[in-house]
Amino acid sequence: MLATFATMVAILVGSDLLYLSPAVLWQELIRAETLFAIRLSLITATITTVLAMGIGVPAAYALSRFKVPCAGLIDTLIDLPIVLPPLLIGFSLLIVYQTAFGHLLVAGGLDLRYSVPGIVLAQFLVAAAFAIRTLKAAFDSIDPRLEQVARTLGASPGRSFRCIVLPLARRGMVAGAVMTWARAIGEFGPILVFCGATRWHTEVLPIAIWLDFSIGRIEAAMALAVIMLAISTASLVAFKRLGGKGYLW
Amino acid sequence: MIRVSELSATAGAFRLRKMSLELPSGGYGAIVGPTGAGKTVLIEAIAGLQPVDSGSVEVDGRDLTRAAPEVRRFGYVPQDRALFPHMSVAQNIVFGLDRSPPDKWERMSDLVQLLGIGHLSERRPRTLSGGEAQRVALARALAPDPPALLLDEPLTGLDHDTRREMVGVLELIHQSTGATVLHVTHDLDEALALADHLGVIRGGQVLEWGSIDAVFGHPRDERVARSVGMDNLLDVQILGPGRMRVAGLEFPCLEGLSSGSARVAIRAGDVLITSSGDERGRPATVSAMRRRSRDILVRLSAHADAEMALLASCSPARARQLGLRVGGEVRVLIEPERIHLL
Repeated sequence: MLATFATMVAILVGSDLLYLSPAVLWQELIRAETLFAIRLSLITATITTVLAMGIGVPAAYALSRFKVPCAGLIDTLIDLPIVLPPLLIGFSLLIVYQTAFGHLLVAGGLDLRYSVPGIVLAQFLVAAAFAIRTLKAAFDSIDPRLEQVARTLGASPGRSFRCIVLPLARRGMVAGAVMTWARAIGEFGPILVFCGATRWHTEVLPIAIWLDFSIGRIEAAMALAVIMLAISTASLVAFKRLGGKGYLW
Repeated sequence: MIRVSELSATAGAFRLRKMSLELPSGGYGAIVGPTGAGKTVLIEAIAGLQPVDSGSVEVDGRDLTRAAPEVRRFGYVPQDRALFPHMSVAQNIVFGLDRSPPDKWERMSDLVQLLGIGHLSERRPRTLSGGEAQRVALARALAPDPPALLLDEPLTGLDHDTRREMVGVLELIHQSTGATVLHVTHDLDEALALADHLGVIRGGQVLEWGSIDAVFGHPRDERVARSVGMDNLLDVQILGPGRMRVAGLEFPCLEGLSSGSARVAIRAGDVLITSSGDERGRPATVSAMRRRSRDILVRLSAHADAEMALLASCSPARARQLGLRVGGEVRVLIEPERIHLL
């Protein structure tokens, strides 16, 4: 069964890779629009990853180490963006802007609909959940006794986190960041609904593939698909090599 | 001096109840108890790693009950040593030192010399044996010159030879640094080998705490008596001045006890078996024998059908010399001062 499934995946990936000749692939890759999509994807996914890690590190550490009130509820809420249908996340974001809170955001100049910052927000909702999951797994793998001993040796909670937890969780954190970034760069549904599919504006890689596919430019779509395939594979390899643990939704 | 007064703490479903003990500066205290008795919770509560419900922890008159672990700065050595795996042995040892680099390395040099681990300085913890890791953990705990060392089962998980070696190391540390040490263990022999103060903990309570002589020699509580190796816990009849009946056998006892029934504790090793020809002893029958560690445990009764029995222990060589066998007749002696009234 395992071999059958692995063969199916190999056939899928092989078909993508062999669909285009290297010459056509290269031609499609150096198109200005392709380069724009690549650049926008890299920028938004990197910003999203930084934000997700910024939120994820303290949140995951708190969940890993402290008795958080309503931990079960918080745990479920964190997982929710990962399991929700992606279109629903985008749709929900649009709905937020129909509420009084949304009107306040608009009045405050924070109308992120159909904008590049909106892409970051859409990516962030799923990526942050993913970051918290992988970071929590990294923190869970560190014996809290080490921090306790550090405290008895005079280290403040901050120093004990900096000198004990961070070095020991480093590989897991980098692995988590890589997968969070890969997750962000592959986000499609929420961006499509919340930011629209506008060429040269909200055209991240998955949107670009969809736009090309929808007008029958199969070669261009496939060239972008090959890039995404390379990014996903490289991220997964890096995650595994760094010993990342946790969920890989 | 460490003074713990009426300390209560809750760890999950476990509750430590009103623990009190006093350990003078430079003293070596051991608390003995089985797994789950609350030894680790007690050590953690003293170290500040476990929130305290009530009571107090004082060191030299300074109340540290609400102080953070980094303020208390006890030298804590957990059961699993918890050496920092990403640091070398040297880095582990100097972690708690807030000194200039030359002072830091001088202190480390003194400690590695004392503990005989100079050759391990550059090694990583995962490459150390159990005994080496324990020495490093002790050096790390001692480095900042703590008010006391708190040792949680420090010899657990070590082989027999290494345990003996580590008892020597702990003695050496205590003698050469004058450190105050509080050591929790499930092993009474370990406690007796090292401590001058002894406590017995059961079900989250310290049943007795005091000098070794008081707690080991004259336990007041039956559970403590059992914990410190009193095999015979018996109801006796005080027959008159200086005479009592134990398990159907009549023995002299200390003067001044009023007639009636009493509860006593006697160590098996204090019940002396002599040959049937020895007129000093009382006649008894060997009703059972079994090996216990290095000794033979012998069950003695007034006659073969007696319900109550005395347990005695003797070396295998002595048993052979006396020709001990089940059903055999012997004589039994107990010095009056070896009978402990509970």
